[in-house]
Amino acid sequence: MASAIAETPFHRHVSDFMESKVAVCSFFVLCLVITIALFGPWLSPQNPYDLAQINILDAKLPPGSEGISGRTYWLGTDAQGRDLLSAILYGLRISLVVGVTSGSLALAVGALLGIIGAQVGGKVDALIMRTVDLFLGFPSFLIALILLAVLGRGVEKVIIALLMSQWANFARIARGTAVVEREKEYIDAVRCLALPRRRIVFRHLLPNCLPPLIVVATVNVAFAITLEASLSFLGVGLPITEPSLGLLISNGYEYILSGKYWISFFPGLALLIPIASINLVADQLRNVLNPRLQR
Amino acid sequence: MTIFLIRRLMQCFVVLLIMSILVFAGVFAIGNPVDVLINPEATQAEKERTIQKLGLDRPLWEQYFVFLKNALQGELGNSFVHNRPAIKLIVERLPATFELATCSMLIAVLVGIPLGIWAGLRPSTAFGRSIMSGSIFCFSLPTFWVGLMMILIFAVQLNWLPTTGRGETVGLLGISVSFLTLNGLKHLIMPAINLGLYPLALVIRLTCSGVQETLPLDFIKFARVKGLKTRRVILVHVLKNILIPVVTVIGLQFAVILAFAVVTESVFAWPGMGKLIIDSIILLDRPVIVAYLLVTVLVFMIINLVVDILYSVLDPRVRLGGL
Amino acid sequence: MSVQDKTLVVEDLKTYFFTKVGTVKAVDGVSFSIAPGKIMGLVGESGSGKSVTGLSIVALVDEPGKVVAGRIIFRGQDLVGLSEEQMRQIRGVNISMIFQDVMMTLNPVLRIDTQMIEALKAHNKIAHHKAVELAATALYQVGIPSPMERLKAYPHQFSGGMRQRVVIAIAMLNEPELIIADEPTTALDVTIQAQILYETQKLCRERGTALIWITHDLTVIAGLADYVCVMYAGKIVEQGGVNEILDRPLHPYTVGLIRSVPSRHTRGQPLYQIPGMAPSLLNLPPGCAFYERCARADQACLEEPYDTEPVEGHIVNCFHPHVESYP
Repeated sequence: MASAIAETPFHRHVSDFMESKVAVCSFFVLCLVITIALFGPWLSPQNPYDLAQINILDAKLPPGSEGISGRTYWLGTDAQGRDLLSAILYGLRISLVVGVTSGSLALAVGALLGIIGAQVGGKVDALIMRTVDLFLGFPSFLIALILLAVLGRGVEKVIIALLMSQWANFARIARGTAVVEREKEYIDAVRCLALPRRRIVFRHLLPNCLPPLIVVATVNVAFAITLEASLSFLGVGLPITEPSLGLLISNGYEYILSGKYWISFFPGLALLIPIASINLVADQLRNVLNPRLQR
Repeated sequence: MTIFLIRRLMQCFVVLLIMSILVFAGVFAIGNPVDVLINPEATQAEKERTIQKLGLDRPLWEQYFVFLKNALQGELGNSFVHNRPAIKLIVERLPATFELATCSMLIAVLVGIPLGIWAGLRPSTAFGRSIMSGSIFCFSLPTFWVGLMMILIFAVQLNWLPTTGRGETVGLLGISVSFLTLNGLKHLIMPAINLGLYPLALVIRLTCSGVQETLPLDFIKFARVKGLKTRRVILVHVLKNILIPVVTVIGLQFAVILAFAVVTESVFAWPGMGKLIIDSIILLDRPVIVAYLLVTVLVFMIINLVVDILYSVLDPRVRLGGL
Repeated sequence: MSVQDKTLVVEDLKTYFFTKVGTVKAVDGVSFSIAPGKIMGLVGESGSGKSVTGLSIVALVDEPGKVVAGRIIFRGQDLVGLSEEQMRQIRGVNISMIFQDVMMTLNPVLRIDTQMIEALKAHNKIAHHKAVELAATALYQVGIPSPMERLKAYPHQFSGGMRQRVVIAIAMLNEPELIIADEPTTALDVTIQAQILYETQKLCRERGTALIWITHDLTVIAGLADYVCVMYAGKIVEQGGVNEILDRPLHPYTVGLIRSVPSRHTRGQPLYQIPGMAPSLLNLPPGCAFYERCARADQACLEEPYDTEPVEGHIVNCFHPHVESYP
């Protein structure tokens, strides 16, 4: 019957989360992918960007073939003779780093602005929210595209563009949640203790606004990864010196018509797997953290 | 209702004005406007003439009004690459992008709503669960990669469909459309499905959660207690309730896929606005970028306005002043 | 009256909810009957199982609930075990139900006439204009002025009391033999409540419709019902004629309920409350569910009490009814 052990909310969330086998699977896949990405350079058989290690004579070999030097290219090679497996490992790392960084920054900036707006109120709040509305009226893809058109290529510029295209969503949610939480009694209680405003915001308000933000943040990281890949594919994203998976896929574009599918196929698969896992995990998180579905 | 319309139109104007200031600032604040709007390879005499015409030698705030006046007349400079008015280029390409976006949206809605209703009614069945997981998978797919794979499978390996480009067009009310020809359809189907996958996933999830949220409500119970057939309960009572937010989202998604069409157009070499803008960004054809931005802002404003009006028309509580 | 003549006979109805944390015995062996044209009050606090009883009769208990035992004999036919299609043909025609939350009973995005006409068309082949006439007449009969115009309105354009009248009108459209009203006036003003009570009573008497009025408010029952069933923790602890129950309550719970109602005779004295709280239906103690809160309980009460009939027509489920209070 009823459990005799006191459950913290965290335990409850975790056990609820584990109800979906798909989500748990995805979570492990995600951890695997992150580990591989982190240790990419050490795991990969070859450094694909060291010109001394690649051999142009090995170019465009299908998966599983042996190269001139006797090395097996498990996923084939691209037009320059680079081992695709290695290129993917390097590219995965870059794609994930850019996606996570921009997603986290957007969360931090957006949530902070939203909560400040809710807490301070008045003209500051109005200004922040009108800016948010302006940004939200346009698709993030367009914002990122135009910013990159203006700023040019480069890693920091891509991160800035992604940040600008995503912060508004966080700000709106954070403000909405903060406004509701602000009216709750525990905030009154804390204010009665005459705690400094900053402490109220960080120690009390923020943690209670987190659940919806966490779900959105997870989905947004996946979206940021896709966005960066699309922009790099189009040639306006990361520069060639930081070859993300998007760039790898676009490299293989011209070889599709001659049937050399692997140059684009495998990087795409490597892109799909982390994105799908993040989304599946986020979906279950949303079910778990959604107060309306509480039993 | 009229007051509402007037208020929204005023808001539109304000935003357009702000956008024009932002674009102006973006164009003129970043780098030399002479470089932005005038082809660097023009002769000195041409440069001077253009500077005169575009008022680039006058103080900044005057320049803004000249810019505004020119913009309203459709004069935003000539494309460096094509040497024709930038606005004309964009407008020429608009129908192709619109056709692609409309077809994609149609696919998303006509397939997505029935699937979403099914998944919402029977969430614990294998089919229901696979629809939901499938939808998550769908919007995780990188559009451009799927496009490439589609070309690979259907065009290269199976040879059923053409690889890239737009098919034959015919004139319809003065606009050239390609879905009325068989050849046009063959070219249209892959890019439309490609672009439509993301909104399809969204519509499925939205419809499903809408159904799941509406079913336990009291008025559904009351409808059943009246002895209505289940089909009517679902198709009239449930559907009409969820259609309102779904329509709003579909409208806003239309704006999103108009922008995102850039990717699909690049993969399938579809001659729309998107392909033009990417080429322009890479080739630094700035007048086209400016023109694209202003046209896009205008289109999005119109879409947002239409969605707002649609929402208030569909929801009687808003329309008749209940809320 | 034999079983055949009664509108509804419920025998040992059990509806359980099979949840992840355990089985909730919402209705645990409920029996009562109601004759045509009579009004029965089903009284109990929140969680006593009265709403679920009503829903069980029309087979609209949601997952994870199920009717697990008992018979529901409506005009001689057992409803338990009927197919969904058979139940659908009974709902809205022979048995109607109205709910508590007036705001949400009507679909906010459909017009009133749509929601009324569909109730007619679902069960009769009827021309549209005829259905409109019938709908307008029904609205008029529940006291809504200018019915033809009001038909074209939306629910949010009505006040709470008017909306409930519309709902009652819909419930009576197909002239059912039984109406189940689940706390329909709880959310309304007292004056509106009085009006609706009066009108509902009048309509039922005129048409010979049996009425089950579910409420937690004893005062409503006093003015309205012929027969009363008092529910506690999923069981009927006492039932009988309204005057009998109110004047000579036998079950300690009923006694406590009646004493809890403030009256001008007890002015200045502290308000009476039944001590303790209703038990969780997940974790019912063995024996009588009222044991913890009862002043008269003893060892015998740790066994399940059974129904006795100390006075004719007055049934009580207790080992120690207050028979000695009434010589």
